[in-house]
Amino acid sequence: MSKSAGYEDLERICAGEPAAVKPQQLLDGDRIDDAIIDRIAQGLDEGDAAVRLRLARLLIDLGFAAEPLSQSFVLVQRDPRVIAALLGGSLGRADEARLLVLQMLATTAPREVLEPHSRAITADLLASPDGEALDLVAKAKPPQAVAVVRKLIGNTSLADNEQLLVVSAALGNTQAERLITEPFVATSDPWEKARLANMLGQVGTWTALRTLANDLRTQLVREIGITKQSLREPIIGAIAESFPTQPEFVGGFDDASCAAVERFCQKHFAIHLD
Amino acid sequence: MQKHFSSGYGPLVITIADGALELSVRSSWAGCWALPVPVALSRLRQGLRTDPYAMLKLMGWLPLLGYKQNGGIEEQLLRLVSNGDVVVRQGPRVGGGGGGGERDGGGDGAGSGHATPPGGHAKPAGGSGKTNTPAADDDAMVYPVISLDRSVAVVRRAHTRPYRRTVSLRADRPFDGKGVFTCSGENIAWYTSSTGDERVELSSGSLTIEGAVLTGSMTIYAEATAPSAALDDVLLSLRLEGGSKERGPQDDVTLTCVEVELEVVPAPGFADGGQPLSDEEKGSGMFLHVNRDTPDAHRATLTVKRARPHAFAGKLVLNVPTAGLNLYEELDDLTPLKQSAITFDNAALPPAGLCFTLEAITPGSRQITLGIEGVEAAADSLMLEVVRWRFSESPNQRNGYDDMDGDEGSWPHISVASSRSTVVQVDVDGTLRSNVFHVVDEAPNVARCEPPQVPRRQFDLPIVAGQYLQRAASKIDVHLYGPRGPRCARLEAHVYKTRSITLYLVRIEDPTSPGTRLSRPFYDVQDLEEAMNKYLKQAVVNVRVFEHNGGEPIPFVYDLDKSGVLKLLTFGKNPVLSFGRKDPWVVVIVAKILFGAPLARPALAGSDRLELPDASATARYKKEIEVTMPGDPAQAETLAVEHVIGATVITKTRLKKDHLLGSMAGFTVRGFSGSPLLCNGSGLPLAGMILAHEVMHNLGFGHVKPEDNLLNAGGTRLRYKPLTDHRKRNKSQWDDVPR
Repeated sequence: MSKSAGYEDLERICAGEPAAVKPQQLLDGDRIDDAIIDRIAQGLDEGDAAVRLRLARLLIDLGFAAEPLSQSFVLVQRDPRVIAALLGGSLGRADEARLLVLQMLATTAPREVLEPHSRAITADLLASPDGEALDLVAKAKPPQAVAVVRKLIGNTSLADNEQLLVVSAALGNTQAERLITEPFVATSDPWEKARLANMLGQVGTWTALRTLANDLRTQLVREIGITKQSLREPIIGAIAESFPTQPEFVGGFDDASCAAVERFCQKHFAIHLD
Repeated sequence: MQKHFSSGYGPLVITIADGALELSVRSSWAGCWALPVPVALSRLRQGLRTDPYAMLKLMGWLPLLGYKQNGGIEEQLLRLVSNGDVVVRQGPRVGGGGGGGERDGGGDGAGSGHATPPGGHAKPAGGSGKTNTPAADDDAMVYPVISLDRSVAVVRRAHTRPYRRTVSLRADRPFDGKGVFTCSGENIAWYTSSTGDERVELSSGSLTIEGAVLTGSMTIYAEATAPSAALDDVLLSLRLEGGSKERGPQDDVTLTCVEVELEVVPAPGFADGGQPLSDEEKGSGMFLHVNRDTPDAHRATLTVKRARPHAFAGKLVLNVPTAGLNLYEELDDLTPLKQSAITFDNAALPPAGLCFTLEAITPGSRQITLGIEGVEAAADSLMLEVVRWRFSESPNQRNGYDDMDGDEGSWPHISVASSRSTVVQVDVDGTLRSNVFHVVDEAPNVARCEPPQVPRRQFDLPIVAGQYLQRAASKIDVHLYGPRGPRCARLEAHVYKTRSITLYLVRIEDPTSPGTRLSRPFYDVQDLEEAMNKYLKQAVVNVRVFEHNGGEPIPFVYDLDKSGVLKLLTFGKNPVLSFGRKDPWVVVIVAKILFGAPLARPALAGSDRLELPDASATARYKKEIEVTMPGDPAQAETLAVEHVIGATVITKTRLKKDHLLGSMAGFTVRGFSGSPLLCNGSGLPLAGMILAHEVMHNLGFGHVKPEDNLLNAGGTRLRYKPLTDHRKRNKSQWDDVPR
């Protein structure tokens, strides 16, 4: 792979010309050059919607490729320069690049790397209060967003609105939190439990995660296509959303990995698993 | 002497009798035109140009007989005669021919009730359609002559223009006095022409006419404005006054004004109950929606009212075009009437009238008429605009669409992401007026639509979902006439939160097994992402695809028996691979995946059965079964499955090789759900569909039977319509998508 060819392809992408570039062509070892990030940020700022989408995708790909945990098949986006470039070049724009960035950061960025961008994330929610913005707010939990979300809820019943329920619980509304934790504990339907586990993972509060952790040894199994899956897997996956870089959550679902997760949760959430 | 023509107006008869030349349509439709023989013959010779009335009649008839009007009247008439189309005969008057002969109030009697002239003037044998006909040698006497083309005048409605009755007034020879025409009824409006608006005003029911005018004949036209109270209750008279000659007695004819009514109630479904249409509404057009492609019954009600005066004994004819329309006797009838014209005896109709229901089959404009046989085809009428509003899947739609297979009682459904919009295609057939359809959102805060301001034949109707809402089946209704009119179409919108999934592709090769090398090292992840989203958008799922290591395969030892295959056990946990977490989802691409179970007993060459550990292991062997021995690729063979009994698979052909314990029986799969998702590298051309299928499994969707379904190998659809899944549940796939 030639770096100079990679740079040329990047310029062509910025110019809106057809080109494809692999992230490895732009990496300096395992590091992304500041100049590359700056060039992509400039392209994100100046390009049309199609160019912006390609550049956002490329920058996300670069972030993954430079992340050591990707070798363990864990996708994490935690380079502050990449986060800043993605948010700076995407928020406030109503296009596909914004949606891509919001989706990817909501699912792969640790909360702490989003904290410096709390105001921008809240402003984006205010400008475009859509589902993607709410997901990122739930992940980043910016305190400024509490009032915005409260206004969005208005007279809406939270019980009827899953997305507002999740973000409200994520921002500290304990009543909303209970609307998810209680049915999660009560249900024995594996699919419903998996759905609620996913919601609790998005909520990501200590109580939500502790509720999940208490069910780590669930005996429930769901049939997926022509195989079966223990509910432990979606529960671990939901907890892992809040600890994307924690070694206990890196790896598979073999017995040893699950035992490591249990030990972590027992310690972190002060629970006792029978 | 009659000659019949298929003119649509009945046979044409021309008779030259000893008293007059008569031209008439239908023998019973008498007295259309009557002239003394000398005059008639003279006018034939002169080309009939001097008598506009006769010319008009001829000009009106000739096209019906297939002759154009641009030739000379005489020439055309003579051509008719020479062709034998019309027979002109001089001879004795045919009894009743050319005369109505029906004085019982029948619909087609001619002007009737002539006074008998003194002096033994010849009178028509038919008793009508004829007038004072003076003897040729009676020069001293002048007679008034009043003739009427028919004895029935149809009451004009706001939206109809029935033929006006033609009243001819004349003196039978030059006259220098005055004539007085009187009309006893006030329900007649008089005009100077058959179609124009210039009125003839009668003063106190009478009109004075100069003798010179009567010498040449004067024609006025009668239009009924209200029905008669009784038959023949309108008396028309002409008497002569003054002048130098002795005058004959006044001549009289009688007329009945008949009102015909077709009551029309639009299709049911009006919020405030359907009201009969006014005449103006009948004339401007009633909208009726095609009934066959909507679950709601859309039948209009037609009631043939008894004509007034009720004593009128003519026949009413309801004419409903059969092309594209069905007429039924009852609302719930399933067998339509076959004839397009239905005739009723007015006197036999019930007082409230006779009801029918009307159903539209194909769009278009049509006219339904109710007439009087032999008098007026369209005494009342209904302009019908058959329309159709159809929803269908738009090529630009952003999520799912289910037409429910057009099943009776069902409406199409559409899915849309909350805070987003989608489109549905609308096709409008029939008239394109802005006031035909009205779209009503049941809950605009959940899903609202934005119809175009200007009506179009085909357009994409945007459906905009409310923010953050997840709701089932918000209804968008299309009504005829207005928001309270009958519903003719419905779309049910389901709003979902977008489910975002990140797939992380990891390509693996086992460095210890050459058979595990991937044949296609690279492919475009964006193409794959696009292909997957094409299918998954139906479930409002959005997938982002990234690949590990720039698409370069990574070494991973998994092929322990060196068969080149990743072996997975039936309902077993993946024994080798262990990747990733819930989100992102890892997709592992390998060269080949075999899914099956170890043999429970050895299967030797010549046998046609394979014993597996339990019935659950055999349930999925439908077509082929592949038997392999770890570490010995030469021992593999593939057999067609005949059927399965419990844990035993019976093969169509006998085994060619011995398969000892340790052999595995299974089948190749293109993808495999779970954590991680598995994808058969050889299936990459279909990877988008395969992975979309497996992603749906991971989201909780089981296999279903319809082959066009994404949850069946090779299909692409996700249905709202309930389908039976692998758990024998009859369930809507859309309802399995979390809202």
